[in-house]
Amino acid sequence: MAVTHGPALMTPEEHLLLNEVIERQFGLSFAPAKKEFLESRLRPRLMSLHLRRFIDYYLLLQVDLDSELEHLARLVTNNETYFFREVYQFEGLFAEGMSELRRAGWSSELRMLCAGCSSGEEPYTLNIYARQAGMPGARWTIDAFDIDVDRLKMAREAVYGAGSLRSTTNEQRTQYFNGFAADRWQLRRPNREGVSFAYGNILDLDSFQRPQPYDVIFCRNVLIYFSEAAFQHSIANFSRALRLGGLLFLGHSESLIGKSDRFETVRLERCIAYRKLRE
Amino acid sequence: MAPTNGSSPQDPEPSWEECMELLDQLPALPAEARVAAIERLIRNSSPVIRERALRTGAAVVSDERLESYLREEADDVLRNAGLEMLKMRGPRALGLAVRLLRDPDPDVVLQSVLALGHVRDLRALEPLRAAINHEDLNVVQAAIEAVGKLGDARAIPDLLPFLEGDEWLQLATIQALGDLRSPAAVPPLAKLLTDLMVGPLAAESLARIGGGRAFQVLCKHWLRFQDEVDPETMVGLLAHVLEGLGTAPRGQEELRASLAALLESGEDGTKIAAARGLLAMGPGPQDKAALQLVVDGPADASVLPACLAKRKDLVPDLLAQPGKARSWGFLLASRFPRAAPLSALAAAVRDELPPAELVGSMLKALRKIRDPRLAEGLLDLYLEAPADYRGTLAPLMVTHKNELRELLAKRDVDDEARLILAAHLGLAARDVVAHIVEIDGHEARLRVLNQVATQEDLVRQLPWAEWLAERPDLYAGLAARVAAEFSLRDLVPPLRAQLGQRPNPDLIRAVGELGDRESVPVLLGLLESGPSAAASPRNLVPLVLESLGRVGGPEARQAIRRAILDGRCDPRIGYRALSLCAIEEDDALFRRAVGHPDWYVRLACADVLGRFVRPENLAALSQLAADPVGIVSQRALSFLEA
Repeated sequence: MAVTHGPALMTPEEHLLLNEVIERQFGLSFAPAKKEFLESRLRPRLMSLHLRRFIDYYLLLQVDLDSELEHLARLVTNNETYFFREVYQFEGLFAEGMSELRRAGWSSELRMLCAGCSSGEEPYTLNIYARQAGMPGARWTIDAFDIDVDRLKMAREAVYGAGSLRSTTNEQRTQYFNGFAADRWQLRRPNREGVSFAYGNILDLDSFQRPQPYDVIFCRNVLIYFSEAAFQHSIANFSRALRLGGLLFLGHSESLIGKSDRFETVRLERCIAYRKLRE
Repeated sequence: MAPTNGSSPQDPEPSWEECMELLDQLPALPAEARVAAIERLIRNSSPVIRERALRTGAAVVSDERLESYLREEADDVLRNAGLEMLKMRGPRALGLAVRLLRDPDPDVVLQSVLALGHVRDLRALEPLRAAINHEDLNVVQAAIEAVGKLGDARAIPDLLPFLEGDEWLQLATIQALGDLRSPAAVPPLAKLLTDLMVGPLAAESLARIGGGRAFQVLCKHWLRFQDEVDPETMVGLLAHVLEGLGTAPRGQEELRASLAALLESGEDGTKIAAARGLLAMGPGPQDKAALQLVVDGPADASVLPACLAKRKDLVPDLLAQPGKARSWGFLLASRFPRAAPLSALAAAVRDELPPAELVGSMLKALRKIRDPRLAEGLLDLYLEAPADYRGTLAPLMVTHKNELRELLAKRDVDDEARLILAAHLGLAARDVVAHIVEIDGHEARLRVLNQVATQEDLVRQLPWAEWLAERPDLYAGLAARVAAEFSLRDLVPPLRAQLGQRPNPDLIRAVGELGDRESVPVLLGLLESGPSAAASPRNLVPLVLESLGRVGGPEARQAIRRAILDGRCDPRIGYRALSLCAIEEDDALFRRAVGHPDWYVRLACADVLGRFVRPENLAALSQLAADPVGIVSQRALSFLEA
């Protein structure tokens, strides 16, 4: 039986062209060393479209980017996340971080944002910590956005497999989740309340727009995949979306030191956050 | 020569945007202005900008000017830039760097030695061996390190005398002996392990040499002095050597016990290193705990850790865990397909589809294991996989076709999925065609067609022309795709007719792929009507140009040229399309574009100018060989060298 074997291997120039589009749209950058990785991510889509070469996919994106953007986002994003990941930052926020925010004039509802939330494990963990911190329910909100609509759907359903619960102890599993199916668990309703999900892009300031600025933004382990230009653009957007004195939390391998004059570092127990310095 | 005609340390740093703009303009600047711009850009704090500027500088700055940079005493940035440019020249740096080894200024000699160490060209071995005897100790130190980087063990006797005497030279020699990767360097390094000052560096060098002798020395040292050395470093080195051994060492119970003790009591880094070491030593009672530590560690899911590379016995444990461990399980199973228990594989396959970049490993593993017991899991996986992935899984289904056919007969599967699977499992094409034709409803038929249109013999028997006549709006897209993919020339006339009436990306691409010259007038019409062709929000012009380029011929060429010259298309698309069908008389247009700000236009220029060899084209290619974008300069260089 003669069958197609999919598109030809991605050439270096096709890699550069597609990387430009991905970088411009999502900020993500796939260095030459990651060419094969990008190729393997895009290959099923090309097969599905019966395209012979990656340049054909690039041309398709030139023709109708809007229609293809959703697919592309799904293919290139890294959705590695799980509950109770690097919780020392949540602990830091609800301990010393709150004092920092009070000193900066915060007094009422705590507005938090998870930028690049994937399937929701991070904002839900943040929500669990907010509840544990003893804040009355009405006094905080968590907005979360991502560019992958499939992941957002999963976030809203709040049903997770073992991979998402890899750092969850048996006690936590019993306390916060209900068994849903074999090896599937659903986050209990109270832990889902107060978290709202939306489609959004870190590079698009409109994704951050709300009537009042945020007090806290979490964007962890996202910017490491960004190009330098996209990194700068993202930091500018975070700065615009945060209130003066608001706190930004990045992943442990991401740093603003020497890269932005809009923020200063703040030491919170076992972690570092970045405080917005000026409007 | 005044080297700093572009800037001085006192100049304010240009902004990021300004620098990016300047980098884009570099190819179009005259040579002297280009050098001045580079001298300005190398001062930017962005590593990306500096790297691009230095790369261009390596190609365009003359030897004379580069030498002046290396001699620059007042401007550290420029001096360092000179060294970086020399390194970036690679083997082309050899002549200048070797000549400068005889320079009276020891600082210039030092930089030449550093560059030669970076270039790692064996032709530099003899000059560097001579430099080991230089009167300046900084030069000697750098020369020792550079000799190490060349990796020629014949240099060991030259280095050994430096293990005694000046401590900086001693450190450099230990480093170099490790770089030489020769077992002959093990004994002299072993003697230094207990030295408080240089012992840790000697251990690191031994680990880089690796092999059985280095392992024995390091193991003995660790067991004797484990309370006195830094456990994370030492165990990390031992693990590294163990991972590199062809076969795991036998016995070593004492080592195993000492590593096992660290699994619970050490720091995180030590724990993971001990776990790696234990796993690399082969099966043992601590496997479970060690594996968990490695899984919880920072290792990447797409790369099998070296400590697991020979552990085929761990495939079941890895496959049983979600996420990273399962990915490693598939990677390991693809290396040792016979060692993978079917129950574990079947359960893992049924559980969840791995990310796209790991599907290949899974398929590789499963393709090698033709056992009927895998079929059920495979069927579940296929039925639950998103449509985009089913095509990837289809070739695998064939390897289990008999079992899958039996399963399919017993399972409650909807008719569409049943037919698609039957087609993948080898049902005769004429029978599949008969079923497809009988499907009631075009949309249902299209859903099936989209899944099975990867099979050429099947595709060729389908009544495309009939369907196109009946519902062109529904079938034109898929018909065009399969026509392009399988060169179905019979379909060209109805597709061409559709192209005139309902242009869409698939039709445009198909006539280009099939080289249909009779479609050129239609394509030209679409080009004339511009982005709003067919009242669509889509801009079809890029595809029209691409197809015109693929079809070629005088009319197509002229149309593409006009689109470029009139500015009616994105230059990169226009130049690419023209490069597909360019003839010699187009080369003047490409020569004029070698300074274009878009790298992709310049790449098209390199492609075309390299095709038509004449002096003016070679001159333009020389300019492109100094392009700040690596792929453009490499393409131009490859033509020039050819």
